[in-house]
Amino acid sequence: MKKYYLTIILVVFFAFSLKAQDSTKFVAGWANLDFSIPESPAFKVLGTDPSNILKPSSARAIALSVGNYLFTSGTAIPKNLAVEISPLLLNGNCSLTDYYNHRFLYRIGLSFGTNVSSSGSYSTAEGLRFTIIDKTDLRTNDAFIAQVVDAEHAVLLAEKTAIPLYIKKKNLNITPIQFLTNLDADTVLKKDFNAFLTQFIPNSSVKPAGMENLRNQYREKLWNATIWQAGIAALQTSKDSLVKNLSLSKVGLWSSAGLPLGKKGQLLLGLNYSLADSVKWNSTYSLGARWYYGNNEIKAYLQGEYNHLVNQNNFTTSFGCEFNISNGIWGQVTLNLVDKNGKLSYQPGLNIGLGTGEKKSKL
Amino acid sequence: MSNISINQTGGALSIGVQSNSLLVVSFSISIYGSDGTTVLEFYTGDTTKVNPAYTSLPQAPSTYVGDYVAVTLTLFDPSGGTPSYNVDITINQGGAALPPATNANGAMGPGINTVHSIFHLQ
Repeated sequence: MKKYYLTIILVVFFAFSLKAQDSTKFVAGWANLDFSIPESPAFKVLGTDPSNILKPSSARAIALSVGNYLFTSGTAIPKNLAVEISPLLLNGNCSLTDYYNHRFLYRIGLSFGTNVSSSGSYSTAEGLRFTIIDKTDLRTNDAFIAQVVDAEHAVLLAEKTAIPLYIKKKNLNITPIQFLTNLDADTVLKKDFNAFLTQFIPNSSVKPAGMENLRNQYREKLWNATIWQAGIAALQTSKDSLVKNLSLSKVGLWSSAGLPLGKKGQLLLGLNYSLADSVKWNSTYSLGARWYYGNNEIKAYLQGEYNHLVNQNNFTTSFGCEFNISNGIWGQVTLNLVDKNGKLSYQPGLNIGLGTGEKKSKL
Repeated sequence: MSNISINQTGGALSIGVQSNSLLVVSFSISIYGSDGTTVLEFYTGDTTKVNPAYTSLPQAPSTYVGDYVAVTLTLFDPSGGTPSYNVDITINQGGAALPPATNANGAMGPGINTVHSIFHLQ
């Protein structure tokens, strides 16, 4: 039960944390980073989800994955729990220039996961994720950044023009330097002045009020842009809860690439090689493809996957849906049809992901 | 407003802006005369490609005694996940920062945020 409570606490913590951000730093209806939470390599190697495709997603400081806790062990104890962090993104002094110049390092994700099986055995997992290409990342999108810089410069030039005119219009009888000295401390004055200076921004530039829309447009345009990631993870298993009894039982390597198919489609190609200790060490090869259709908020998918283990060939067909529940909280419902040497079974799945620094978009 | 003492016979002056946040940071630098009204020089720049960004002032340091430097920062969060801003602004002479160092920091609001820092050169 402890793990159940821990999960609830974590979910509530994230929800309240994001809610707090919402109320203090953002205006309702303005959208931010809004891609689904990535499944981490550590989450994947825990292995209750039969899919071996590692879903690629932009790096974020912290992301939490909770997997299949409703379907695979009753309604109480979560089967999978994994956290992924990008250590360099946790550095509060990271600049956009640093991120752009060293994006490979900044996007590295470290993940840690745990699992309790129905037989009572414990598993722990550690993973690394590398991003080779990520065209979905607005922080490194040259066209978007250039448009933002243009809009910012338009504001700066408008301010230069507006200051003396505003002082004159309002009969403030102060110098521009006195005006600027007081401006940041007086929120009413600043709001009024910012509204005044907008008239001096040329129509060719995006106005301050349109900046969130601009970001949303790019977000929607790039949700299915090219992305290519690779991951590695190791799994240790113990028959009981003692750490000293943990032993290496599986190593997994993944590579996944997402490619756009029109405006509303995405093709995800995934490769997986796993080496698992089951009486003796056996290799598993997996090759899969997933087709998404939808938008950044909700998307359906259909997936086919082939696995080869020793002399056994498995085929898995999955269909499901990924959806944005609330700020930073994502859900995934899936139904997997597994064909193991001609024997057909089905495995439902429900995964929940939580991430920092995100807000549900409203276009 | 920060008072900055400059060496009238020392090296050239420059203004440095360094972003310490995952934000698009642009800036304007206005040199106001001692009356606080007349704009003598005006520059713009950003830190997206080069950080910190330095803007050199072309005149001899003695020329600027009594003048004001008004730095306006415009800040925008490209990903929407950065809750705060942190930007260092320095007046430099001969490549060294003159005290006091100024750090602009606070919570990010939606859209383009503007922040102002004023320096009086003495």
